[in-house]
Amino acid sequence: MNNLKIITPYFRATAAYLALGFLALTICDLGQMFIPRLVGHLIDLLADQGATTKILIKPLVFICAIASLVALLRYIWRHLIYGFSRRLEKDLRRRLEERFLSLSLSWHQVNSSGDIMALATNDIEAVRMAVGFGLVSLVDAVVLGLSAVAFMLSIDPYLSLWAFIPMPLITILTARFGQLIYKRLLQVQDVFGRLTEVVREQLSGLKVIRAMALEPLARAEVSQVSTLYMNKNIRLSLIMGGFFPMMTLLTNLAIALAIFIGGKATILGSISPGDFVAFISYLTLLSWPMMAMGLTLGLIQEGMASLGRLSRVLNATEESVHPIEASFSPPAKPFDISFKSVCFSYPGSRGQVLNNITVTLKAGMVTGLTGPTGCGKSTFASLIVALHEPNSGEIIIDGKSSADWTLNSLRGLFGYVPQDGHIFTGTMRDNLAFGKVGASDSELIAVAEAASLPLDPKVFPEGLDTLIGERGLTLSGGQRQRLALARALLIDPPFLILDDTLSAVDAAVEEEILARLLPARKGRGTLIISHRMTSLAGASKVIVLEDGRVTEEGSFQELSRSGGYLERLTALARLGADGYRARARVR
Amino acid sequence: MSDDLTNKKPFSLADLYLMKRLWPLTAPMRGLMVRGVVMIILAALVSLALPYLTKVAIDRYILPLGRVFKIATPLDLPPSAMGRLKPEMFIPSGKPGVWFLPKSYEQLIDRRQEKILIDSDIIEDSRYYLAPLTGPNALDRSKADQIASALPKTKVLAGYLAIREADLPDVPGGIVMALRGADIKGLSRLAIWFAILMVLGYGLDLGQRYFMEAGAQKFGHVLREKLMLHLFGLSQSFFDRSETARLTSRLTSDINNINALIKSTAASFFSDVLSLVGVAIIMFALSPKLAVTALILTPLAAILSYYFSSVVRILQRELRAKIAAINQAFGEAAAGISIIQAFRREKKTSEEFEELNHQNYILGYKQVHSVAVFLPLVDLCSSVVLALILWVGGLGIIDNTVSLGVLAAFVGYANRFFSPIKDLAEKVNTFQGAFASLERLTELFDIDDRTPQIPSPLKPVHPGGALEFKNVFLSYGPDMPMVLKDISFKVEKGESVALVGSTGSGKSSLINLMLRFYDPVKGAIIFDGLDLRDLDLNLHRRRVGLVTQDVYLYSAPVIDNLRLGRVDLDPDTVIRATKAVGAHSFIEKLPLGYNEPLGPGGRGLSAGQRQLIACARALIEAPELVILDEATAFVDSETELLIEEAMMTIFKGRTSVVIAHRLSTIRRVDRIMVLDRGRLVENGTHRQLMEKRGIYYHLARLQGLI
Repeated sequence: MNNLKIITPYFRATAAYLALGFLALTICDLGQMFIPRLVGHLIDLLADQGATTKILIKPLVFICAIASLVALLRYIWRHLIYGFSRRLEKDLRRRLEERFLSLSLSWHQVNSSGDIMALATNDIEAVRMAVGFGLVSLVDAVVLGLSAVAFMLSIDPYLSLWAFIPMPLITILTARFGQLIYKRLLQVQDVFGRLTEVVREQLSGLKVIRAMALEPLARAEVSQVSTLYMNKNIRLSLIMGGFFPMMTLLTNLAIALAIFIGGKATILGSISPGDFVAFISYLTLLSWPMMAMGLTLGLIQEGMASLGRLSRVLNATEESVHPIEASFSPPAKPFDISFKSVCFSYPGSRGQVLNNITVTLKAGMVTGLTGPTGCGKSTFASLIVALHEPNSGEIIIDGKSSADWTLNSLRGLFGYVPQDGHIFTGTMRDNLAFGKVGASDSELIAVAEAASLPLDPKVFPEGLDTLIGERGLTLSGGQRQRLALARALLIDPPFLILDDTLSAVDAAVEEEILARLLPARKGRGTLIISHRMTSLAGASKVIVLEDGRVTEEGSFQELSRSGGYLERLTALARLGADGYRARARVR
Repeated sequence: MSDDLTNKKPFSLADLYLMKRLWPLTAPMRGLMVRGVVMIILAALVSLALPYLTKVAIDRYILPLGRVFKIATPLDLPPSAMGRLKPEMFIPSGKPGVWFLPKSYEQLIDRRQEKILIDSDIIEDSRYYLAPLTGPNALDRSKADQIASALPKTKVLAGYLAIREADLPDVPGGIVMALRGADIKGLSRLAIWFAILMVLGYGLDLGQRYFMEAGAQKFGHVLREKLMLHLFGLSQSFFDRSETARLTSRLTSDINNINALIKSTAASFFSDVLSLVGVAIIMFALSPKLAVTALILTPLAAILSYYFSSVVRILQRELRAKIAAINQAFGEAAAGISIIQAFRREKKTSEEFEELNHQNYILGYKQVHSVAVFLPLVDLCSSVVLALILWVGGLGIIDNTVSLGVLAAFVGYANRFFSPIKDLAEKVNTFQGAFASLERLTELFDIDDRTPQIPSPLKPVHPGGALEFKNVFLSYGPDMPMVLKDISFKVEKGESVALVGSTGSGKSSLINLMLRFYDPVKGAIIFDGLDLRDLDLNLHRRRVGLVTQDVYLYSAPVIDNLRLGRVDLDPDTVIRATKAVGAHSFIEKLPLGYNEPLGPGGRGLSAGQRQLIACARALIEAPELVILDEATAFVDSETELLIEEAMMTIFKGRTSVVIAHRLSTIRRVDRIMVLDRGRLVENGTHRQLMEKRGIYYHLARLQGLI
C-alpha cells in the first residue's frame, strides 16, 4: 500500500476534476438504464386505444434529451478521467527518467537496461491502465451492476438469489483467466520476439550460413521457432476461446435457472409474466458488470505490481558523497590526481577489483596504464570520473578529496573515452557535439579530423547530418572509437582519459592519431590505457596493474626491460605467439 | 518506416489475384477452416435459440393463452376481420360455434381488426387459458368442476376448460398444481434443454476459435517456411541490396497481418454482413416505411465509424512508434549512462526524453479526444434512430398502419443494426492492411534473382583445393565501379596465403568470389581445374570452409553447433577438434558443458569464443579450402593468442587463405598477397616483400616488426 504514495498526490491535486468525471460517468450509466424504461412506457401508452400524436411528443423529447446529455457527459468524463491518466503517465515517466539519469553507475550495473525499458513503458502503461480504464470499469460495473441487482431484487428476492449463483463465478473466472491470458500473451510476444530475432539474424548473417552450407540447419531453426510460435498462439486461442464464451455460458446458465425457477413462479402466479421477461433481460445486462469487475481486478493487480517496481526505482536511496554546492572553483592550471589506498569492489560481488591502490598521475603529464584483461584498468578510469566511488581510501584531485567536489565541477575536468566507444542513435553532429551542444560545424570537423575520422562523403554521405547507430549507418569498431575520441576532444578537457580507446583502430592510424594528439595536449594531463606498445611508448610514466594491484611503475624504457608484464607484452608483439614461446623455452 | 506509411491500400480486383496466388499454400489449413466455419454457423444457430426458447417458454408453458372465437367455422369470418389469420390456425373447441385461436397467432390480429371483432361480438376482450379435459394431461373432472364453480367466467367446452387470464391467479391453491403440472414439467424440460444447448454452443464456440486459429497459424507457418526457402534460394547480391529489417518484417508482421485477415476478420466479417443483411430483410418485410426510417442514418454512422477508426488506427500506430522510441531512448541511455554522466549530459538527455514523453502524451490525448467524440456520437446516432422509429411507428399505430408488435420488433432491431456497422468499418482497415501485406509478400515471391546454375554440374576430378584466379574483374552492379581489377594468382594445394590490404582494398570481394556469392564480370575462377560456374553451388560451398568472428550459431546445444547436423558424428571426434583449437577449456566451463544450449545468435559467448567455435567447426568439417578472416573486434590478448594458435592448426596441410590484420599472423603463412584499391600489387614471401620495400614493408614497420 505504501507504493500508492507515489500516485496519491496526483489524485489529491485533481480531486475536484476526478469527482466531476466519475459523477458524469455515473449519470451516463443511469441515463442508459433509463432509456429502455422510457421506450417501454411509450409503448404502453401507444397500446391504449385512443392514443393521439400528443402523447408521443413528451417521451420522445425526453429520450432525445437524455441521449444528448449522455453523449455530452460521456465526452466529459472521458476527457477528465482518461486525460488525467495520460497526465499521470507522463509525469511518472518524467520522474522515472530524472531519477534514472542521476543514479550511479553501480546502480546501473545491477539493474539491466531491459528492466529500465520495461519500467518506462510496460509498467508505467500498466499504472495508467489501472488508473484510467481500471477505475472507470470499476465504477461502471458497480453502478450498472447495483442498479440491475436492485431492479431484480425488487421483482423477486428469492428468484434473484438463485439467478445470482453463477454470477460471482464470472468475476472470479475473469480475474483468474485474465492473468492467465496475460501470461500466455506475454509468452506469445516473447516467442514472436525470438522469431524476429532468428529471422533477422539469419538474413543478416546469410553469407556465413551459405559459406558453410548451413541452409538446412538455418531453415530448421526458423521452422522450429515458427512451430513454437504457432503452438503458443493456438494455446492462447484455446484459453481465450475457453474464456470469453464461458462468460456467455454462465449468463445463459443463470437464465436457464431463472426459467426453471422463475417460470414456475410465474405459472403459479407469484410473478407476473411482464416481470419475468424483465428479470431475464436484467440478468443478461448483469453479465458485463461482472466481467468488468474481473477485468478491473486484474488490471488493478497488475497496476499495483508495476507501481511496486516503479517505487523501487523512484524511492531508491543512494547517498551521494558529493556536495551539491561548490565550495571552491576548479583549477585553471594542471593538477595532480592521486589515489591513496583506494579499494573497490562492485556491489554484490565479493572480489576486490582494485586493491589498495596508491599512485599519482602527475600534473600535465601523459601517464600510461596497462595490464591483463580484467585487472581493473577500466574501473580505475571510472573512479577518476566518479562514475563509481571507492569503498575505502580516497582520490585526491588538485589537492582536494574527490568527495569534496561537486559531481558537476569534477566531471567538468575530464574528457572520458571508454573502450567500447558507445554511440547514440542520431546524426554525426549529435554524437560529436555530445558534450558541447551547439558547437560550430568547423569545430566538429576539426575534432573529427584530429581523431582521424574525416567526414569523407563516400563514408558519410550527408556529412555531419549522416544518421548513425541503429537506424543509420553502422560504424565499425574503429570508427566508433575514433568518434568517441573526437567527442571527448571537442570539450578540450583539462584531463583526458583514453580507456583502450584505439584498440580497434589500425596500428598505422593509431600512430597517426597519437602523433597529432599528444603534442596538442602538452601541459595538460592525459591517461592512456592500452595493450599496445605504440600507445604506451609516448607516456612519461607507465603503471602496470595486475589483479587489482599496482605491480610496476616507471618509464616505458625501464619497464620494458624489467622482466615484468610490460616486457612480456613487448616481446609478444614483436615476435608473435610462437616466437615468444620459443624464447620462453630458451630461457 | 515507410512500411507503415504504405500500410493501407484501396481494394482492387488484383487483390483477388493475390489470394489466388497463395491458394496452393492453404492446403494444410483448408480442412481446419472448413470445420471452423461449420462450427461458426452452428454456434450462430444455437445462439439464435435463446430468444426463440424464451418465447416458447412464455407462449407454450407460462402463458399458453388464446382467444375464444364465437363463430360457426373459421371460414365464416368476414374478410375484413380475417386479416392475416388463416382458417387452419383455429382449434375446434368441441362445442359448436366456439373456436380457439392459440396465443402464438394472436399477434397477427392488429388493433383495428381486434376492434371490429370485439364490436361484432366475435371475440371477448379477455384471453383464455385452455386446460385439456381429455388426453394424457387431462384435468380430472371434479377439479374442473371446482374451478368452474370458483371462477364463474370459466367456460367449460367439450374437450377443454377455458379459464380467463385475469382469473388464473385465483385458481384455488390445491388445484393449481393439478391444473398447471404439465406446464411446469414442460418448462423444466425446456430449461434443461436450454442449458444443454448452451453448453453445446459453448463447445462449438470454443471449437470454432480453435480451428480458425489453428488454420490461420498453420497457414502462417507454411508461408513462413516457403518464404524462407524462397529467400535462401536468392542470390547474395539480392541481400546486399535489401534491408534486413524489411525482409524480416515480411516474415513476421506481414504474415501476422494475413493471419488476422484469415482468422477473426474473415470469420466475423461474414457474420456481420450476414446479420446486417438478415436484419435489413426482416425490417423491409415488416414495414418498408419503418425500415427506411431505421436505415436513414446508416450511411452517416458508417462514414463516422470508418473515419474515426482510421483516425484511431493511425494514432495507435503513432503511439506504438512513440512508445518504441521511448523504450529505445531508455535502453540507449542505460547503455551509455557512463558517457552521459561523464559528459554531464543528464539535463540535455532529460530534455530529449521529455520531448518524446510529451509527444507521446499529446498523441495519447488526441486518442482520448477522438474516442471521446466518436463513441458517444455513434451511440447518439442510434438513440436518434430509436426516437425516429418511435415517432414514425407511433404515428403509424395511431392511424392503424403499423402494429404494436412491429414497432416493438423495430425497437429491438435498431440496436442490432449499429454494432455490426461499427465492426465492419473497423475491419475495413484491417482488410486494407492485410492486403497491403499480401501484396508485399507476393512481390517478394516474384523475385527470381538466383545464382545461375548449369543444368548438369561437373564433379571435381582432382579434389584438393587448388585455386586459381584468371584475370578476374568484379563490380557489384552494371553502373558500379570495378572493385577488383585484373586479378590473377594461384594458390597451390596445401599452400597458405595471407591477404593484406587496407579497408576497401578488395579483400572481402575476393572472398565473395571464392565462395561464389558473386560471379566475376570478366575472367574466371578455377577450383581444382574446373570453372566455379560449372560446379554445383552447394557442393562447392561444402568443400570450402569459412572461419570468421561472425559465426552462425543456432539455438541448440554446443555439441550440435559443432556437429552441424551430422548427429552420427562421435563426440570424441568433436572434442579432439575443440581441444586442437583450444575451445575445449571454455566449453567445459559452461554450466552444462557441451550440452549448454545456445540462444538465438549464440548469446552468452564472446566474440573470441565464437571464432574458436568456428575454428573447431572447420577442423571437423575438414574442407579442402579454408578461408579465415582474422578477428577485428575486441578480443582479449589471451583469446587472441588462442585464435592465432587455432588458425595455425587449421592451416596445416590445407589450402588456406587468410585475411590478416596482424602481421604476426602473416609471418607464418607461405605467401603474402597485398591488395591495393582492387589490384594485386605485391605477391611473395615475407622476406621477398620486405626486400621490395613497398606497401608491405611500410605496414610491417608500423607494427614494430623490424
